[in-house]
Amino acid sequence: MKRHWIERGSSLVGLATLALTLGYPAARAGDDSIVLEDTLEGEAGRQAHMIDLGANFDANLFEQRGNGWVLRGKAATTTAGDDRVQASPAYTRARSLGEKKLERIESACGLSEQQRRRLSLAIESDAHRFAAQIDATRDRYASRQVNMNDPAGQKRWHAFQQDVQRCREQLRTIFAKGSLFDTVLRGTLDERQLACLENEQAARRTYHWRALVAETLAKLDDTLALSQSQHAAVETLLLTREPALRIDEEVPARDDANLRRQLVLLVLSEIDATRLKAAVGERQWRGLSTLTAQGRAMRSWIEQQGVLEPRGK
Amino acid sequence: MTGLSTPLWRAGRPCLGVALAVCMAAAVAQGDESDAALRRAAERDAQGIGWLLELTRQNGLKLLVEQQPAGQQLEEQQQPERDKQIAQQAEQMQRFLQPVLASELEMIRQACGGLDSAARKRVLASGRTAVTKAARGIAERQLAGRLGRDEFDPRKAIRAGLVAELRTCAAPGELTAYERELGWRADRQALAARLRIVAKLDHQLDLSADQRQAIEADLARRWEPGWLAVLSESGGVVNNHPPAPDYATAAIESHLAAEQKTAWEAWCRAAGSRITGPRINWNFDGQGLQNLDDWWTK
Repeated sequence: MKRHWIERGSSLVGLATLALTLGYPAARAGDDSIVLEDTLEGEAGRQAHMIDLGANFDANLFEQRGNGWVLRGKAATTTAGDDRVQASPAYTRARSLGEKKLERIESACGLSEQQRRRLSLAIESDAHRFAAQIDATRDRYASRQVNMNDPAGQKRWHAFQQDVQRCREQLRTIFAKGSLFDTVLRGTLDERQLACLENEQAARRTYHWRALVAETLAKLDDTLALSQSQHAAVETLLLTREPALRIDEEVPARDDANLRRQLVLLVLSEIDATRLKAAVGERQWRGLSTLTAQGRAMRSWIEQQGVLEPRGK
Repeated sequence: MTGLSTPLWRAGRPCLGVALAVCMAAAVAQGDESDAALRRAAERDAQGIGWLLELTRQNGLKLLVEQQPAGQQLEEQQQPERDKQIAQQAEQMQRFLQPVLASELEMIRQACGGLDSAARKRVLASGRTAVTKAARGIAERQLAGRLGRDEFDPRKAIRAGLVAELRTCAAPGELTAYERELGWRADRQALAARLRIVAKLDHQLDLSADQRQAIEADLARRWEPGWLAVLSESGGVVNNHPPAPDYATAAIESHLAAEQKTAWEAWCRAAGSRITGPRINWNFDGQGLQNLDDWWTK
């Protein structure tokens, strides 16, 4: 520790102020937040406006929940001579997600040893492919610092954020349709197993949609003074329009209460307005139509959060 | 620091100064060689503070207790200013609570459409009085930094004011219909909370369909109204985890497999309610109908 706590505190406060005044996209959207997670030491501590992108890449891609941003001052150290692929946090994370997925499939439909081996190999292959793509981006930022007081530095930070965001999306879809794992899965499981798996996923998706609808309508009950029959009518309309929730992948953004609410309002906005209007009174409709307009306006933001399957899949 | 500074703060500025100096001395004392002068000064301060702390230890809390009257005097001096701030804030909150009143009145109108003009005006007046009190309740808590830390719920307070008046003027059948609606609404909220708890568990622990069903049923069997707090969570994370619903452990744990149980325990340790503390919010988002229905003033 090179400096005493008051100066270090000032650095952190300064950095937080800098983060907010620069108006990062993360600071503007929903629950997105910038968290100063680590102490700033050495040169970086004395120059809080200097951000080490390499140190922040892993922290933001693998450790940060949701779509918020963490600013980490301390650079991660790597040991010379490490095997590049084995040391890759992208590979480690992909493997871990794959194993979790495999366990889920196993418990849903049972797997023979041979099926398990084939699927493990596919996971291994997808994990390597993913790690190679992510590491290529990651390497571009290794030991690279940007000066946040400089417009060029701010521009590089924004480009960094876009790259991390793209990698986050790749992370969410490693084993989705189009991956080797998905292809192998369909060729490996028999019809009974596939049906079992699809049923399990459908049941899970339905359960989560029901929970989302119940949660949002519990708030709308207060907001719009819905009666039991009105509530039931709106609930039925919503439950029959279950969206393609991304249910198996790790999507921390779904912890965000505002996102869940806006998602339900988005689906509400897609329901025929005359049917909705008929379900509530005239005064309530004025409030409800404002809310559905909000939900409609949030579509692109909701889609960016990764809670829905990409369109067309 | 937190545990130490709270009683010291009540004792007045001198003790707060001591608390700060302890921290500064401790931090400065860790400085490097180039900060030798600072460190020597810090050590001197620390010795002095050590003596003060020893004196405090020997005398129990006497030092703090003796200074209490000075603190009280200061509080008394600050009271008029605080009252003014509360009044200003309460005025703002009154405007903020109008939509809540409008939606509560709407619910009454749906069930009690037979209220005559005089009764409607009385109900409206009682609602407005309740809004004034609730606004004051929010402002006091905001200024004391304890909003959301107790059971106070402005919506419930407003509703209670309305119901008290309604009981004096609504036809029995209509009053029953209204109370039945309130009951159904409470049931719906409880169900929403249970589903939310299970959904959270499912995301973290990968439950099977049978487990989801069993936990939901057990939550219903052991239901506690305090669990509604899960509907107030905004999505913040604690130690990089969403808050764990460990208040309902009895309804959850027995349904988990061994590995899930291990993960559950780790989650509770990282982000359980003992860490997050009680946090009771109310429906601030989209909180009510925007305009008061003029039926109430006719």
